[in-house]
Amino acid sequence: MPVVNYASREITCKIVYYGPGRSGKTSNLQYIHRRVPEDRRGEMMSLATHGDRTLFFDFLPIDLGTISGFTTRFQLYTVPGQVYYRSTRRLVLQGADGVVFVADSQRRQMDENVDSYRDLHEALAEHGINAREVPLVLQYNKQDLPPELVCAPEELDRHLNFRGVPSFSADALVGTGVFETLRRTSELVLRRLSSPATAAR
Amino acid sequence: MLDGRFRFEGFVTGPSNRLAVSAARAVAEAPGRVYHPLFLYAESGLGKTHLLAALGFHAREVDPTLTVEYRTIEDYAGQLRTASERGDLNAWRLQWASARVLLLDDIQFLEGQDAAQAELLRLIDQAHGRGFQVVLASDRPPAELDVDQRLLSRMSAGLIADIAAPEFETRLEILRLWRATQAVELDDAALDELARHDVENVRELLGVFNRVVAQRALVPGESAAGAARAVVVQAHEERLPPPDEFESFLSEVAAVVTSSVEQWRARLASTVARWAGEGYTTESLESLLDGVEAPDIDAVEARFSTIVHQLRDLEQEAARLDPRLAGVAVFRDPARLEEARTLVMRALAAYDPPPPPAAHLTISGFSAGARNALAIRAASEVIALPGSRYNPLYLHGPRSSGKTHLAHAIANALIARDGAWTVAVVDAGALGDELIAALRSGSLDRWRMRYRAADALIVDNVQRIGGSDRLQDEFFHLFNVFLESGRQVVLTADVPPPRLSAMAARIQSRFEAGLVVEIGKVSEAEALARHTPVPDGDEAAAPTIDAWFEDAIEPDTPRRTFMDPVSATDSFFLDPEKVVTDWPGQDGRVLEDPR
Repeated sequence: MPVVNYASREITCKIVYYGPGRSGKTSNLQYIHRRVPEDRRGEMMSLATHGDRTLFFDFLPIDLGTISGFTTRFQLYTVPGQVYYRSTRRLVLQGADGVVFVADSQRRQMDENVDSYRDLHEALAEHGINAREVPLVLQYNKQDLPPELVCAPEELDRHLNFRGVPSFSADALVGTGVFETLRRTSELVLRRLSSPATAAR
Repeated sequence: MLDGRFRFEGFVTGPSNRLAVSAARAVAEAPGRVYHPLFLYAESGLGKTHLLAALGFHAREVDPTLTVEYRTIEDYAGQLRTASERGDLNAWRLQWASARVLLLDDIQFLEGQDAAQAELLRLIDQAHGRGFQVVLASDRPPAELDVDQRLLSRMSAGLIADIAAPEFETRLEILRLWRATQAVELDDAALDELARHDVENVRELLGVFNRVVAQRALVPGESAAGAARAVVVQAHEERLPPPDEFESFLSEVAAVVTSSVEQWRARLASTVARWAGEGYTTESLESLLDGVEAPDIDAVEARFSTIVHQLRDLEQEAARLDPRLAGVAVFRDPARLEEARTLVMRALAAYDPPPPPAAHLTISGFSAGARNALAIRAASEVIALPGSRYNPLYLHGPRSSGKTHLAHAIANALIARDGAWTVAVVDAGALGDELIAALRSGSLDRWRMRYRAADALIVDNVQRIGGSDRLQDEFFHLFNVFLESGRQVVLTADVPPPRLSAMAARIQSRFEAGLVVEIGKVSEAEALARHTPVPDGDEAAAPTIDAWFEDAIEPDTPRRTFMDPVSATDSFFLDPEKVVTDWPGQDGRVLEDPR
């Protein structure tokens, strides 16, 4: 749950970008990092292999400043998409207030998407998080690729979006759909602030 | 002049340019017979010039006898002007008329050049009549050119083919072609990344390709795909002014936060922050934030503010009495208000104590008798168990019956019992005068605390508070504070409670709830005895009137003192560990004869 510290007047939200390897999670964070003014962002920490894949996780803290008297901070994380980093994914997912599932729109990646989405649900269940309640947004990345190579958003919806959560087409490399995804996720997360269970002192 | 680098083999065909390329090939293979004229248009950098040149070369390959002329409109118009100035326009016309394939680039520059437009119109008509080929290239379609309408209709009469920006596959194929022709080492993943760059023209694509090649040369160990991605992203950002997505995002988040954060919590948090900032403990307010239901914030804030102001007054009073008490933590914690009051009352007791009893009015100086036996018994129990036995003790009797003496004596006895005690002894009349003075000087709280700091309160002539509502109110609260905290109150009056004139019933009833004891009028004999000179010498051994009097009260009991433990019912005095009244097992003991 997003932490609202009324005493210190702080709101902190943790959003985790989940998805299969090379689906564009890090690209999302990199784009956001470039778009956020320097004085509002922390250093983006990224532990990656030479193969350019996220080894552990990326972390991007963003200070949104004072909103309604509350110092508002977002912490964006990615999980390593590779199958064998299962435990790292569990660790990063812990305490997540919202999840962005970044799917690779390429048709040949559909199985990886489905496996990763299933893995997300298992991870949520292990953390005792009700997947029906956690703010979740799907992002269909790489929609800029030729139509014959990628699945249309409607097709991806049929395969992945059985919960009917918000979904966005994206080209994270150049930023298309990146902020739309983050904006919707943030909205879902922040809407939960009114829940008394989110209050902390 | 045709650029020899530009051939059909080096022109990657894709959906974006397939029509233009097919038409160009068809024209090259059969000039003047398929499309007349062929009009190609495309944005800059998409291959118009390349295609014109490729067409020209291919036409000459098919038929080496062909005369192929390539000119930009600027050259064409320039030559026209020169020929016109020299007066050899006909020769110039003949030169152009002899070209079997005429390739004219940048047609858009015809706009505003009427003479060139007229010559071109004539040339197209002439070529058409002879079966010669004219191919025109422009950055926009004929309909968008501001030229003579007749020329426009001629331009549109053949085939108009456009070349669009290359799509992904075409870009990828272009990149592969460049990789091959330049013999550079870039893996397919890197080319994939570059091809994803949605360029507006091929030159831009060449630019990112060259950047990646250069980057790889500078940092050989770097991942080619990573470098390609970085270059593409950089190129993308250079191409488009970045939209202020963050500010837009921020404003939407702000709206959501504003509407989502419960306003009562935000307001309460603000109150917490305010008081915490002033150094006050705000736990009581913070605990409300945990609640589900919104409390009455106005009431909560008012209550907290009131307590804080009380704490401030207390701290001020404490600091006045002892500067070392300023800033003590108890004055910053509303939950410890009572503790703060107690601290100030103790300070008052130490530095500005309430009026003490008259030291000379002691028990030993009080004469006991039948008229005051019950009062003495009650007094002894009050002294033994202050606050827990008879509270209040209400002594009433006529003037000069000894009420004041007994009241002061009780006070002195209590102080003697515990040296740390403060016993306030005040005449009700003086109490009223002090209250008026405190009200006038604005020191009412201090007045209250001064009395409330005492361990016991003794008010003489309490009937004097009757008639003053304000004094009765203050006395009522003072009285309640003592009773509720288990502290002893002793009152004296000239009449029993029901006969107190102009006294509030709530006060009377509280007086009656304690022990009401009458002290009788002093008899003449006692009065006489009081005035009898103290005997000395042999006379001192003779019985006194007091002794007679006391014997008369209790003729069958041995004479006892006021503090005789036997007469006191308090268990303390009956405790065998404290007072020995029977000496068990005297056998075998050696008793010294006191005489």
